[in-house]
Amino acid sequence: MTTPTLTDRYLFAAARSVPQTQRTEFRSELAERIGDSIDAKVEGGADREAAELDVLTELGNPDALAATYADRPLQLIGPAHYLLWKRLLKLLLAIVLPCVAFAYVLAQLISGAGMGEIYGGTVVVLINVTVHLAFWTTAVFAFIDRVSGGTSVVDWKPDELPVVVEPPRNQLRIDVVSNLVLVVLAALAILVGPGLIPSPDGAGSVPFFAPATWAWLQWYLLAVLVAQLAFWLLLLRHGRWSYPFVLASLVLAAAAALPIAATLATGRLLNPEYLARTDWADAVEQLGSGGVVASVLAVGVVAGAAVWPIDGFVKARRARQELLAG
Amino acid sequence: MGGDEIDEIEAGHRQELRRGTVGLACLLRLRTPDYGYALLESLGADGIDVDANTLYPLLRRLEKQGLVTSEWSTGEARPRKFYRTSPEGDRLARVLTDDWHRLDAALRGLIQRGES
Repeated sequence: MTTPTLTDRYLFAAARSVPQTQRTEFRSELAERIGDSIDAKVEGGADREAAELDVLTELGNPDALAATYADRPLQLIGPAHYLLWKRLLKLLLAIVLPCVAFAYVLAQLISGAGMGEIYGGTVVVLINVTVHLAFWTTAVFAFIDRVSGGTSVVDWKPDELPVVVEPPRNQLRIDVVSNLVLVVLAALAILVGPGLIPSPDGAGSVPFFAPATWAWLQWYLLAVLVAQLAFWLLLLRHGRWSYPFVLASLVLAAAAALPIAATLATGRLLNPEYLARTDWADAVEQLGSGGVVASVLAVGVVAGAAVWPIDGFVKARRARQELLAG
Repeated sequence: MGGDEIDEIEAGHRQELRRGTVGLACLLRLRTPDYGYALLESLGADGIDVDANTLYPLLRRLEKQGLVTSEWSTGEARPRKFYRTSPEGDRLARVLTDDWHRLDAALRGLIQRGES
């Protein structure tokens, strides 16, 4: 494989934001335009590399170019600054929200607030911060947009082009193999894991999971894992995601997550005796039936399991579009 | 009012005046099939200066509206998309040309009355 040229990277960046069905056509059209423009400059006596750089610089930001081709003007802020606004706002939210959440929770813990109070308060604070960040960033950009008369304050340069990342052809095989490894690891964790969790005070062996629940849950989960194993092998044979597979993954994910979430939320998964011996004074109350931490963990388990069928759905839709397109 | 500002106002009005004519020029010119860059150059040679950033998206739009059809030619070193005015495009071009003549006559009248 030859190393991608600057033009290849430009085409890759521009085609990314065009709908899948129009991507190939758009890419060829743009390749023709870039090639012809470079040739014209070379005929005029320019060096080929310099001509390429010139042409791409004149074309400007690939996302903005794709937007004009797609008749999809970026108008919320004004085309010159919309993409910068979007990127900055995302970045700000990604940095500021976790920091604020951490600082707030820490401050509340130090002042000795109850868990319920902390959760509620954090949600309110995060909503407030999000609204303020979005509002003020947008206001500043609207102002810049006006003052600059709609010409971008930041020049775009070809150096900013992303590296070309072609999706590997054997993506499915990579997915399947990594998931098979995960299934095996999960099975090992179920069989061996509980025995490895030490008793909190070292005295005798106090099991981490409630013995009555664990007695049936471990075999049930192993059975679900075997079904998942079969699922991945069938998917590998089929060659690509499809909606029946999405449905199957949904059923299997629910089969694994719901019993764990239910026993966790009702305080039947963890051994109260174990929790009582830990240093955490509130452990039984928080992790027991209806406890706040137990409920949050249960929701987390369900949400985590949902990632699998959602990912499958996205891939199934893409596979379908690719089939229809060509 | 500074000189720059007057230039900018003038440029804005000229752009508005030309905007619609580029589409018509393409429909007329593409009765002989051609690809984007050649079209750009020949329009320029005919005295219709059009920016590449305007022309390429315009061709795409005309195609989407069924006013031009396209075909990829793979015979040359680089695959090129050749556009050609469709029968509907041709019909529209005639309507727009009539409009153009009417506007031209009307403006001539206005100019003459202003001068007399």
